[in-house]
Amino acid sequence: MINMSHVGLRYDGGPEVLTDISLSLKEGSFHYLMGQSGSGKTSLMRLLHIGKLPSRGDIHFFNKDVSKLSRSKRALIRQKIGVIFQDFRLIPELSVFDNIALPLRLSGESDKAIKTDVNAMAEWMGLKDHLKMKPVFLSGGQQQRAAIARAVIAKPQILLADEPTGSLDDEMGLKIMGLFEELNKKGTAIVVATHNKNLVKAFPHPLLTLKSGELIP
Amino acid sequence: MMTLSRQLIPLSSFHHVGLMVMFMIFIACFSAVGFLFVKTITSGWIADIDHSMMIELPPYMIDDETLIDQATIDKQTVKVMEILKNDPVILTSTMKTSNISDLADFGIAMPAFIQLTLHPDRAENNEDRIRRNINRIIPNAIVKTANDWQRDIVQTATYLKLIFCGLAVSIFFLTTIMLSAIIKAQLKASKSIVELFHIMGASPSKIASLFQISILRPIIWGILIGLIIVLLTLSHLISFLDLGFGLGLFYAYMFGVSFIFIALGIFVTRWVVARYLWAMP
Repeated sequence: MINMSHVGLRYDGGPEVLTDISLSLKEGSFHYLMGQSGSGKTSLMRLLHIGKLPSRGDIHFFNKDVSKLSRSKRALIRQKIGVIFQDFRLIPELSVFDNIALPLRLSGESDKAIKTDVNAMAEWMGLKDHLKMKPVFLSGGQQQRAAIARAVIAKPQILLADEPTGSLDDEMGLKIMGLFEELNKKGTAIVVATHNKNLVKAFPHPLLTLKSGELIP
Repeated sequence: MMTLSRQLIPLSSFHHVGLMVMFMIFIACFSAVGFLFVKTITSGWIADIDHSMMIELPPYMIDDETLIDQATIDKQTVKVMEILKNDPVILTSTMKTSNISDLADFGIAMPAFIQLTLHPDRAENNEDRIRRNINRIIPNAIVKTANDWQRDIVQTATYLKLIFCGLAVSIFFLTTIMLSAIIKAQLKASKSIVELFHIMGASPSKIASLFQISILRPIIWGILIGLIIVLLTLSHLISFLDLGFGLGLFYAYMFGVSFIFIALGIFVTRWVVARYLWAMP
């Protein structure tokens, strides 16, 4: 699904924040992305959701060189990627329902299908009673669940999660990881950036470890 | 799309665009009325003076101190009328006396004017001949043909029409700049939402179309209210002053102007959003 070959990334002509990254994410793969603050995890996540293009090297999404694709074709690829941000990035002006429904609306789903899907997802996430509320009235854990619901509702082929269980209690954390495992079994490639070693032990998967912008074996 | 558009940009953000368009529509229609007014009045004047000549017999100094008297001018007038009487090219000749009778009472000589209407088919070839005949007898006579008058009128009218055209073009130019600034400001205000939409897979054209929907709503409202104001004022003025051009032409112009504002809304939004998103991959 994603192939990176000798990728480097620098911002505005500054020093390289990622150096010589080569990795391959296949269908149904599950990786943890680990590393200290400033090691380049966020930058690598940006490359993985095409929020940035590499300064050097090649990235192929679904066997297509992303640097050579038109903007509209890159947008189509992004629709296949679900992203969970550490800071949630819920839109404060919208209700929880509308926040979760955003990817479905962007892909042109009907209002009826959106209502059914969002209600089902909210029920599973324990947000059914909060759908009409604005995110600011939710607790940190509820906001994180809404962000996760938004990322997975369109059944993405690639799921990128930055500290997805950081604000959740243990029970909900396990439930979310269970959801990721379920999606993974259906073929979704998953990358979870985390510092949580307990999580890694509980749900063991290969590690991608970054140190000073380089992947270490 | 409507729901997404509302979610991307709060509805109130572009309200001032409506006010701006309303004002611009009024000015654009005002400049059109001015243009059409000048055009119609000019063609009316040109038609009125077509195939006509004006002979002016002005007072002049006999020597350095003595001005020709009124009796001499009157005699010259009779003489000119005699010459013209038998000319087959001339359809009518009318003497126009000066209205400044107070000055005449003080013994100051006043110019005499004779207006001629020439036969339409033979006017052009005979203007010079008539001028020569009159100047041979009265060298000081000023003979102006329709072409001489028309040249002045057309020149003045052209300047006025250019001013009105310039006003209309400036309005569209100014609207483009203002729209562009408003959209840029809105894009900056919605930066985090635009970025989120981008990450979720909205293409630049999709994001642009969401902005277009949001901006077209106030533009259409601005056009409607602007047109109502125009109809209540300018079209009433056109009928009242009987400016001589059909309201149909004016309505067609109003439709055209409205179309241009909508097109500006669509193209400026697309261009500004595309430029903004150019920094994103």
